Amino acid sequence: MKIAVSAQGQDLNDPVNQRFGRCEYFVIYDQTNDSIQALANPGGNSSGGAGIKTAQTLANNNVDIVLVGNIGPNAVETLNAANIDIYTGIQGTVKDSLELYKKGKLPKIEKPNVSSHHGLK
Amino acid sequence: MIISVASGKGGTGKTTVATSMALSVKKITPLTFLDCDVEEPNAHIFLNPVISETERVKTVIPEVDEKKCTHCGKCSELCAFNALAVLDTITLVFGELCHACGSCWYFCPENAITQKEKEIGIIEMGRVRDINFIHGKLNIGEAMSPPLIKAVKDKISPQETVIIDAPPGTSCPVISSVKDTDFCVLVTEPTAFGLNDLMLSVGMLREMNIPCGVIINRAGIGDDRVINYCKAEHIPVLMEIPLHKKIASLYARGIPVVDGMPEYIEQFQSVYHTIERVIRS
Repeated sequence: MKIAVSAQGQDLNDPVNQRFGRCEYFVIYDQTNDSIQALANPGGNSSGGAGIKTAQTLANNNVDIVLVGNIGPNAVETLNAANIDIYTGIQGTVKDSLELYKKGKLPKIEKPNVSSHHGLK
Repeated sequence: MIISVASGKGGTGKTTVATSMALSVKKITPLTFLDCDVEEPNAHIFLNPVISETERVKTVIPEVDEKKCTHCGKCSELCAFNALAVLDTITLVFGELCHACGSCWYFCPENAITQKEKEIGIIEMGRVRDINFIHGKLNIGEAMSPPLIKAVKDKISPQETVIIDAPPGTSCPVISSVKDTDFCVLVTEPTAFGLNDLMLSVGMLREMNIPCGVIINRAGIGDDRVINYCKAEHIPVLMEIPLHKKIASLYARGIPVVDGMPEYIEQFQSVYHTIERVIRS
């Protein structure tokens, strides 16, 4: 099971990024071998469709679960089609947010919690 | 001769200038008026044309045949606008992001992508007071206005005298509207905001090699920075329209300035003659 967290940096101790489509990195925790990997987000520089590009990248990297702050309609549609589960409410560092997820404190969502272009505002 | 009326800042008086200039210039030469602000066209409110013809404008977006698609991901990799997402069992098309470049259907190794027509808006054509009137109306919810703007502009020929009311700003819809015009009138106001956005517009037009001149609306407010900028950059100030309660009142009632204040007709005609001279020089 691979869990990706929207982050500002590449490390467990880096702060999370509330933006999904335009976050700098995803820090990916792989439960099967307890390893950490950072994935630069190519969606961040898109002129449009950042959320779609970002969701596509997570699907290409076989991510199963993504922990986010805010996420818009196109990203959610793509993640749902890719069968990637979305949990919202990340805060603090990547590590803090993974802990919250493990304790069951992050709610699962199947619908967007912000409108299009929220990450640009 | 095609003259566009644009402005970096919104609400400076593009439509006020474009409609009054049209009503003044039509006394000199046959004229076609285009409202290319297809997201919120409003020139018809002032000119009241009788619409005689309506045309639907379509663009194309990809349609994926899931029976043929192997989900190889080629189309999604190629798409510069992220309009396609290819997942294990499905390929998603986000039509509102598509620019109809054709890469996906051209390069699909399985020939699984075809073009599907999508209506984006309408063109309405009519006449008013000897003016040929044409405008576009983008469908509500549609994000991509340049194909509709282009379709509106395809209705004219370079031999005609045309005045184009452009949308505000310096983005794709504005570039589509002012492209291939012989001269652009930039409407601004003498404020810091007006100047900042005027400078952006001038930069855009210089990149496109389109000569321009400035009309300062609400003259008398703000300061001299717009005038000083125009002098320093050798941009002609074609006209100054003072901040006047009567103009605001005419605007609010949907009456063109030259209808309520005919003394402006000559001024707009002289702006037109200046533009003619600039283009021919």
